[in-house]
Amino acid sequence: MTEKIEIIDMDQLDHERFNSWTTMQDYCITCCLCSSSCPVSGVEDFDPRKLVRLVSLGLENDLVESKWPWICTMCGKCENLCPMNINIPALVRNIRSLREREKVPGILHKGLEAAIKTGNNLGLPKEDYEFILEDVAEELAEEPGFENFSVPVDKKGANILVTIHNKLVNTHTDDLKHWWKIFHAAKEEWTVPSDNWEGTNWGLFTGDDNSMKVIAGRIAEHMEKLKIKNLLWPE
Amino acid sequence: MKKILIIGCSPCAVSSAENLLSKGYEVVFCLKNSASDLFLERVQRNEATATLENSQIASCKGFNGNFELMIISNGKKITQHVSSIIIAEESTRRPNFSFYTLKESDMVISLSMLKTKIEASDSTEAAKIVFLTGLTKESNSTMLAEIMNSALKLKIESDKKIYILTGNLKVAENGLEALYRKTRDAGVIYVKFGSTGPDIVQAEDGKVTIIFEDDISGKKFRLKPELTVVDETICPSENLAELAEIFRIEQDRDGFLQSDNVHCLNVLTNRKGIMVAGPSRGIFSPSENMEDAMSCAVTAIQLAEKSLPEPENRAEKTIDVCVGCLTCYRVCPYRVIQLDNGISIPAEACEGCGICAAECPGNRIQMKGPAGSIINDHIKNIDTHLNENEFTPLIIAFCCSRSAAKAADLSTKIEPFLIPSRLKIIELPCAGFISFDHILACFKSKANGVIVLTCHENNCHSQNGNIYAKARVDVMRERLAAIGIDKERLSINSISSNMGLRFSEITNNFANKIKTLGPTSNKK
Repeated sequence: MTEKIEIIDMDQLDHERFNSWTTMQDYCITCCLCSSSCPVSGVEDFDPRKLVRLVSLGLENDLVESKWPWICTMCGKCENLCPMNINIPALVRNIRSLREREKVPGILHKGLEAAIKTGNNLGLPKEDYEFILEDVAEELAEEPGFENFSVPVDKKGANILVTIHNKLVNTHTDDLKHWWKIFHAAKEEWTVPSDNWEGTNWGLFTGDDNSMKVIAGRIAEHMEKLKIKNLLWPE
Repeated sequence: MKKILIIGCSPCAVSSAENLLSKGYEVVFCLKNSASDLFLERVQRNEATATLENSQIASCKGFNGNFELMIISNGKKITQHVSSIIIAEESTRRPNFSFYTLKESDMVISLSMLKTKIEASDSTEAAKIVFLTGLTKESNSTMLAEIMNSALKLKIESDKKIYILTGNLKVAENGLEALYRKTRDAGVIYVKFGSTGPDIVQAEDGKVTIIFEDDISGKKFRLKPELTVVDETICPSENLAELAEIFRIEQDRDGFLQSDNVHCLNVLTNRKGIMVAGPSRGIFSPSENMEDAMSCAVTAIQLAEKSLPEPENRAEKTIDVCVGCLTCYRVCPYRVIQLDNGISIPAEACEGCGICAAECPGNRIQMKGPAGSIINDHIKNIDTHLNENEFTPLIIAFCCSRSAAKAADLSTKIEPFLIPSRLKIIELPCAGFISFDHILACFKSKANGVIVLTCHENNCHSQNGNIYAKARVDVMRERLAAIGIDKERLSINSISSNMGLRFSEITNNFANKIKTLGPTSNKK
């Protein structure tokens, strides 16, 4: 069965739609270094070069609804190699931002909504969070050499503020102990916030700039309020 | 004499004239048609300029520094004596409608037509414009610069949709990459094609539809321009072929007045004193044309002031009576030989290549100067001492001074290159110098083998000296065979000046071949 190939009227395309994007996709010389280096090239026919071309043509609608922008791992190999300095990961992110929020895959948007509402992706209440921290701290204090260990929370004037990945107070609580031990042994002046402690920023992943700013803004607020100069933001 | 003839009224020609006039030279313009008012205004301001309109060159005699021209001007015969000649006729444009299967119409025009419209501020109403360039044949940067400038003007003045459909984008000229970016930033859309081009259809009502497929996105696109602009082929002026014949200078395969010889540097032709510039020389950008204009002026001045070195060797007629076969006249690459009640060879113009002397069937021309006598002396004084025990062939290598002699030098001075022992190197001003007599004299002097080494094709300073040498060697080989000398004892190769190793290879191979042939048997 032969497919009738649709012919697109080129003058109906808006090539300048994305001129405001600073990703420079118009300078692509189709050298294919991006596609060659992309670790997920070929997964569901993913092709970074084709993605760049479709955006330049103003045909990004095909991309917004497709899986392609979400297959990209944002590793940045393409950007590193591109001879024309096209910021392909940023381009992918911009396309992600064009999709309706309800259609964002998986739990990404739901988790983000929870984070905006409650300060963390899990919607974990403050008391539960503090309880978990204290519980794990007590366990650590039982180990030799860590007798007088305690978790500094909201400590004003500390040297380092550390954000928390939600899994650390959910499924991987033991992993808290590793870095706590290091800080303790180094006699570091550190602290964690009591709320808005979430380090993962799914606004970054889903192309939601506003949410991304809110979450980052909260962490900046902590720094100001607690008068801390250094931020450790591992996520 | 400080008068220069300039053929043509292109900007290049005018610029050349201005340069010369500023140095106190007189200029005569020879124009095929009548001059434009603009031209006359710019040029006639200076008293030292004469303009011959509606004029054609009928003949040219003489040589650098002293050319005598017969010009038919407005139906009358005029004679001009000039020091040198500059040819700078404007090129012509041929629109490429047929390349794109299009016919000219009010919706399909050439680039020149568009430029005229833009200049006349005749703003075209078309809101969608497509330029077609370099799709069937390779384009060039001059054409592209004009297209991009036109596109940019149209885009900036009114918000039209402008597309440029192109093959390779020829941006390898000053400022073209930047201009390209400018047009991109202004919103001009480029579509580049590789091996397959777009499908272009012109309907009966004149409307053009263009359809093409994009490999990268896998999509098919259509364009329906309101105005289609096709590019043009830049051709040499129609006058150039005739000028080539009259002045006896070479043309390249496109018809421009400069052969592909590497010695035709810059604005020089094979004839000293005749220069070709800009649009008569090839397809160049406007700034390159101006550079040519300056080069011509500089060269003309240099030639007039005789600040170029004169050759050591020159040809001289030995016997006054000749049959007038005109062989020398035809073969002289520098067109120096004059026809004036018999032939004459002006000493100040001869470049001493020796081709005329070698070719003259009646041996009426001798070479004066060091080369001639050196060669004869060398041949006479060949050391013919034989080693009785082992046959070591005596080989004479005639080496063109510009190539083979230099290669031989490299070869002998740098180890581990080895050349055959008993190889005698004789240097020539040009391989074309070699005559039948020279070769015969070598074998008479008991040489076992003779090899002639010339410059590569298109590298001969005397245009065809290497080709004449080859023709002569081929004939001589047959003649030697006829008198009982194996034709393999005479050989010819081409070489360049940096090929020391190759010189060693060639001479050793030849020596080995002669060794197997053994000593020359003396039938005579």
